[in-house]
Amino acid sequence: MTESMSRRARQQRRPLRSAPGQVVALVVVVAIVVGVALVGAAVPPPSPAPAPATADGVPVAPVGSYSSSAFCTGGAVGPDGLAGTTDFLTNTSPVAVQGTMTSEVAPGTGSGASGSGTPAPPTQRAVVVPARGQAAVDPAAGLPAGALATWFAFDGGGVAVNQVTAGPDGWSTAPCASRLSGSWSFAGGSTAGGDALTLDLANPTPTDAVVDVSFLTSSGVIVPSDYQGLTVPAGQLVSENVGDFVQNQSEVATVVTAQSGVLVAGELQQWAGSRGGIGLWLGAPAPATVWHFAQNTNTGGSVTFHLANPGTTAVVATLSFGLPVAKVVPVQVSLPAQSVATFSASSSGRLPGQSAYAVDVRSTGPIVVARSVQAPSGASTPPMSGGGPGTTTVATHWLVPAPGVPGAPGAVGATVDSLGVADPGSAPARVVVTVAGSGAPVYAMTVAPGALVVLGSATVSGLRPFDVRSTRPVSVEEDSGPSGAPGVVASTGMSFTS
Amino acid sequence: METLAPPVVAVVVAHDPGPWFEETLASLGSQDYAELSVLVLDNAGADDLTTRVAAVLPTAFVRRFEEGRGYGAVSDEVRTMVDGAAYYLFCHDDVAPFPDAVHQLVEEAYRSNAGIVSPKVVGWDDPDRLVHVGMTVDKSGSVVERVQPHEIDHGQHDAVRDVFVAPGGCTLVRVDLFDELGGFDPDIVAMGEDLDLCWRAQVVGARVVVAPAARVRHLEELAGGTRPLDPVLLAGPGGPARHPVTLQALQRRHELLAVLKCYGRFHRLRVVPQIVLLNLGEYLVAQLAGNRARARAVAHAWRWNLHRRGTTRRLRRELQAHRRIGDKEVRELQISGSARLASYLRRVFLFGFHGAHAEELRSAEEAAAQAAAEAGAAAVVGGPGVTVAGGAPPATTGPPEAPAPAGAAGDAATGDEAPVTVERGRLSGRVRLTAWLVAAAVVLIGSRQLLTGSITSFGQFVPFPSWGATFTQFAAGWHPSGVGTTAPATPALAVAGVVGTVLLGAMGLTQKVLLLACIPLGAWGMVRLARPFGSARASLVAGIVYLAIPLPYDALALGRLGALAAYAGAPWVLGHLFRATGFAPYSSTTADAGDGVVAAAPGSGPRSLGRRLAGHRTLRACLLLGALEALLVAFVPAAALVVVVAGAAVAVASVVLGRGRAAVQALWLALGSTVVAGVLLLPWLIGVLSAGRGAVEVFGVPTPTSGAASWGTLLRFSIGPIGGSPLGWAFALAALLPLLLARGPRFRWAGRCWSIALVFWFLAWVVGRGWTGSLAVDPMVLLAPAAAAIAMAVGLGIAAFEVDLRAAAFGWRQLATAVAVGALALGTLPTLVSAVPGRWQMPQNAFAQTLAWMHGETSAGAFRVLWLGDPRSLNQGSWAAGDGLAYATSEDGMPDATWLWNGTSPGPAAALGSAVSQARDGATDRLGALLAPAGVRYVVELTAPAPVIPQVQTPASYPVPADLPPALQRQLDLQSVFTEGGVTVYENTDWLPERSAVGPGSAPAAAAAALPVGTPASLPATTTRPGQPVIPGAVPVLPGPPARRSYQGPVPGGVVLAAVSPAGRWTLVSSTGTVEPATSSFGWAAQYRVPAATSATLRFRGGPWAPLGLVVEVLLWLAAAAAAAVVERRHRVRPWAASVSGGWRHRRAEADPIPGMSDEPTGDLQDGGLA
Repeated sequence: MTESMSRRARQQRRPLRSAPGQVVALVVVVAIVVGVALVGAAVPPPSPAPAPATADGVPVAPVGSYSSSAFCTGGAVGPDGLAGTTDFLTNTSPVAVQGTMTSEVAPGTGSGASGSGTPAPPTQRAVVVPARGQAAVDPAAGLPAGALATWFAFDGGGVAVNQVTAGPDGWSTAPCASRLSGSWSFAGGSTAGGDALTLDLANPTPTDAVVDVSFLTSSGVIVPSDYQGLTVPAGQLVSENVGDFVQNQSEVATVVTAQSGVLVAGELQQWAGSRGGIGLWLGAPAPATVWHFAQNTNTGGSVTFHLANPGTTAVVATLSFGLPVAKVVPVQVSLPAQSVATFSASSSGRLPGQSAYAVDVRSTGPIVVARSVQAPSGASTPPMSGGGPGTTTVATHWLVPAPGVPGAPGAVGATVDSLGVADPGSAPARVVVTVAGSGAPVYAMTVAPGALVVLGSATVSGLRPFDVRSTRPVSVEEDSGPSGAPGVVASTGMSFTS
Repeated sequence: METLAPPVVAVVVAHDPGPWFEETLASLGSQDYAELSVLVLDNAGADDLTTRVAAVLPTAFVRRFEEGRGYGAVSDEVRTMVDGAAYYLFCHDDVAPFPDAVHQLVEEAYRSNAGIVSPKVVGWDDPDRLVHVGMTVDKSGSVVERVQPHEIDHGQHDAVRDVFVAPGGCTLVRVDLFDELGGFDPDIVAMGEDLDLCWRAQVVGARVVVAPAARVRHLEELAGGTRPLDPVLLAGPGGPARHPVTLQALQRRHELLAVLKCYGRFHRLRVVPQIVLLNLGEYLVAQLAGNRARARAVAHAWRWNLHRRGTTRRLRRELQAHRRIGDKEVRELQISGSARLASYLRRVFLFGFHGAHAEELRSAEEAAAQAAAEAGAAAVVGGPGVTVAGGAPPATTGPPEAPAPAGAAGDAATGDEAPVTVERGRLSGRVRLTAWLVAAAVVLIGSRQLLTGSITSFGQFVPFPSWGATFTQFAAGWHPSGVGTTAPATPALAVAGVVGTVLLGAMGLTQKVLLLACIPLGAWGMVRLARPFGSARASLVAGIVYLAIPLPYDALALGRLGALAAYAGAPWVLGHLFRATGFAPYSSTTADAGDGVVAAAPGSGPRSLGRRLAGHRTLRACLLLGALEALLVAFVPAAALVVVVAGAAVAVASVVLGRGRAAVQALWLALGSTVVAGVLLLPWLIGVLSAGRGAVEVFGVPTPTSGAASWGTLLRFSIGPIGGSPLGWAFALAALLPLLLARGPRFRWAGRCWSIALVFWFLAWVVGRGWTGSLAVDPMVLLAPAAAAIAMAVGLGIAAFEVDLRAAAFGWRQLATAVAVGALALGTLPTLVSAVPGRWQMPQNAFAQTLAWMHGETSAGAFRVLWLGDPRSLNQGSWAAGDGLAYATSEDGMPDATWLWNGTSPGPAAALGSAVSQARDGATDRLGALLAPAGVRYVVELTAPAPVIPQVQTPASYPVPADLPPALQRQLDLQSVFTEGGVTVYENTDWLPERSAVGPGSAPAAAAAALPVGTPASLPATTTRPGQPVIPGAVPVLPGPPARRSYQGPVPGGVVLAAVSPAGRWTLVSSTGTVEPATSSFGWAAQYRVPAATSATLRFRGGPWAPLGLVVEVLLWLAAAAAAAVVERRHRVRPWAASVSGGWRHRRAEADPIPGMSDEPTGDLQDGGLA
């Protein structure tokens, strides 16, 4: 009986066969799932767009902008051994641009200050920059002597501002920042042998900025407690004498990092003694792994590159040299964490004398690179200067302002001596140089990859701003005179953002 | 011989009695009570009873009434016919008192001094079975038996005792009491006259007792439903009711009548509201269970009593005049609580939700079938051929609890219609109830902090404005989003207002209900979606899986209202689409003979009937799904896309499976319902379409593609913090089971479900990567139908296991099932674990708290806040600003739900987005000046939907484009005033109050007057220094709360600026008259020249379009409802014969076989090896 039931149960339970449709359906589903997964792996979603490179902090605002600004720091209102500063405004737009200029002297600096830290009231003036024209303004009018900061608010774009500081010890020029940043870095400063280094921190925003300032020297890192949590009040300038905390250091790199807020930082270097000269520097908004120095000349003096690594890991920097016809083996410089180093190009023996060359510095980590040039002994004033940090930018459209406008040079006899265009890329760049504003052609040329072309004084003399357009990204630098040697008074171009 | 016994008159009310009547008469004639007279009242029967009475009881009196009246009215005639009696013995014509019954009753009446005495009522055929031994009631008049059904009489109720109700079959009533009470209520035609009389008797101080020594057999022809009531008696003033008045309806209305009549004022005020609530709940539950007869009975009771409230009031007054006993004493004989509710809950516990309704549904269905059969017979008489159109003969469709007929399993394997509806996977009600209670407990535990506390205001979970403001905003004709727009508001506000009305204006509770109800709604829809497959286990598992999928909890954690709405609606949408295909089991399993009869009017044949039915069915489905879609679209516009895509997916999958013709119906339904939804939302739709190409943004604002969810994340439904573990794969894996196991319809539906899931997964994947351009839909919204499809597939796997593997030899398929079940169990773990904290990881703190200070800043003038961030971070509707950045505005601080549904086009507010883009591009460092004309005082950058508080809460992170923070920081007129995790607030130092004035003759006034007219992007150039207002000297005027359409206050002479759009629709009304906007300032805002200081009102001039649009919208909804009702009526001309639905499976109107639609044939995948 039991056996019979069991047999019946076995008869009732039959093996199931997979139907064709089932297999197909399963395969299709799995294939789709796996297929999409493979496509997803092959085409991953884009990474978040990184924050735009801070570049040099000096891009020219687009012509159609609603408003733009320029921030000039590091200047000074003489006398008392300080140089005076003049600002030059170049309008690349086809319409006149109005704006306001606000100038302020840092409290506690100069003879006009009480020393109590109470800031002198800022002065404000309207400025008008003619269409495709230039204007020179004296920001110091009505202000007591002292460290000076000036900022311009324009009702439009297309205006570039550079400044010239001139005094008995020489003169220097630097672009004014068009962007604010939460960090600024400098290299190549000195407080040795009576050299004076002034750090100017200007905050044009309505928000107080709180910054930390540290210094990298050849003796190590100096972190003054007074400079930690340093408040830069809204709309004010703070000027600090670096020598108060960093004494007798021949290599001083300054690192400014904002805990909150944004600001603009500049340095004014005054070399003492036989070196004599002024260096007016706009800081680099951020360390970078690529730096360009478009035009250098081996003059018999010295051309020194100052490298600073503010990071916490060691990096290796490679200096590549670009000559019109020859090739030079690159040089590697090791930079431990939070250290500074120098490379003297003129004493390396690799570069032919009196020849121009471009330098690109590429590093394994973000660093700051600056250059100083000292004329041979006996050269005319100024014998010593530094171009400040190089440019991190390569672009196809540059504005190269002059150290003055016709009839109002930034320094006595100031003029453009040369304009160098370097192509750090791998393909030749077709470059056209015109006079900014008028559009008058100056020169058209092809720059070989890795090489540079220098337009001499016969081509670019005077106080004309130049518009440089190229088919490939290039770097541009201008050398001005009079000075003790080429490169003593130099400035980089200002790129257009669009 | 003269006796001392009090005379008793037995009053027998008869109406066409059956053969039992002679026995009734004989039993009365055989009484041992000498003073008994018998009076037979023939209530308009078809045959005169005189002969029958004379044959059995010659001494009886007979009076015939030619016009039928109710039992009470006829019985009352005894008062005009009899004189000198001490007692009336009211008898039905189907009772048979035992020989000593009258004697015992009278004796007990004297002994107990009772006014009404009831005998022990026993079964007609089985005197040992108790029927009644008196009855009691609860406070709502619900009658409760004192004996259990079929209870055997062992003498356990043989004590004389007071009862509340003497059952009406045979009742001894003292004549003087009867006279004092005025007899029976003549309006009570049947059912409840005993309750009414006894209650009133007690009010006047009479006792009602039961005398068990007196026994009466009762056939209960009427109460048992065997003998129908005379329809003439049930006709209302307007003729026969649309639905027949059932015995249940009579009982309910007369219970309510007794309550309204017999309680004094105090107890009436106390009890009636409770009855209202109970009845409301009962109505809703009955509707949900498909028990329409009960729902109609409840509604009928109130309708009938309200209709005769005047009569009731008069009768109540008369009764109160005789009152001798207070309600408190009367109520001592009532039972406490609600007898009906207690009984229902007991049934639910024993049999589950549907089981609790099963018996009534079965009875109703049987009645319907009987009615249909009768009608069918009539049709046959009407002419040959006409009954064919009705379709197949009625099939057995018992309620879910009905046992499967023997051999059904075998049939299931071979048939195509039968197998999917056969009762398989039967679970006891207790098991199901336990499972659902556990699931509900998990959800409740997981939501306990949300239920007991308030909902955190973050993401889209922003609070609604007040009840009135919600409605006002819906009807205002002006919306404050951006800088103001006249685009019609979304009906979501109206829905919220309606829900708020039900909840007595508690809008916080409204928000909570709207959010949290989505979860059970979705699960319920899932259960209903799976139920047609006839497996209780499959239905249960599908519902539980849908609950366990982390999607809704992630939506709660991320503050996504739209995703919750989609989750709630997806199963319902799929249900409509599935039914549209006509494929089994969503096709009919019950032919409706009644329909066939009625539709087959003379001259029409089967073909035309089919077409008509198909047309009705399609139209009705379109209307229903369209209404549902409109409701969903009001909250989440992308629902329209979901419906269409789902319809297309069903159609395509069916085509692939070789069932294309009928499947196209799903696509047509999806398109048709979308058209219906568009019509229902016409005013809002016009506003959307007016945005032109930007209208596509109504579906959503693009989010950063870099944060796109991975394919694996989508397959696990773990967009948010819940369910991200590898266990989340379990659901997708388990859903593969039916592809391995299922046969026939189960296999094909599994294929369709997988198609739907894959389509929506893929769509979410593609949209997330930005490959659809500006068409951006929240992936969580798209995942909702995928989740429903996967849950359905899992349920189909269970059904396949039960049916397709039932007779299979043990093999890998059984193992696969075990693995799938194990995987499911594991898959639920992440959700279970996430339930422990009690708030589904919803943040506890909101920006509304940290930014509350903004609301106190209005003393300087009304202002706007510009919100920037990922669209998922913002608390309101937003517009795209590129690179996944969105912008939106609010007024005077944090937004509420007013801003949740923006106009599709930003209008002039586009200038705000443009300004932000300029700042990011470096084209300005004076963003504040650009924003100032719009009254923007604060710019808020959000990188999370809620504050990031270490060790307290870590909400989702939605970074803004990397260039935005530095761009904002470098603005010279934006001052950073507040920074916290996830939020940075900048104050615009150039800002201009939203409503401001500039004095006359001043330079600022001239500046204001010179403000250019141009495109929104051409905001005024400024020569002011950063940090100075763009129009110095402007003072705030016209104060008032945000989002109003009228502001009043003093204004100085000069120029009044109002940053509201459209400028032409705002007028300034001063004491000197109406000031039209002189020119528009900033290219879009209003500017008014006021000659001298005065008091003025800035007022929005709506015009006729807004109210007209509102009226049109209401009319459209009413028209849709009317159309649905008409279609429903035409489709079911004898609705009472088919109104016994218990879900889709029982809804004939929705599941009628339409020729050419129920085409699921016996496919090659049928159980070939199982038969």
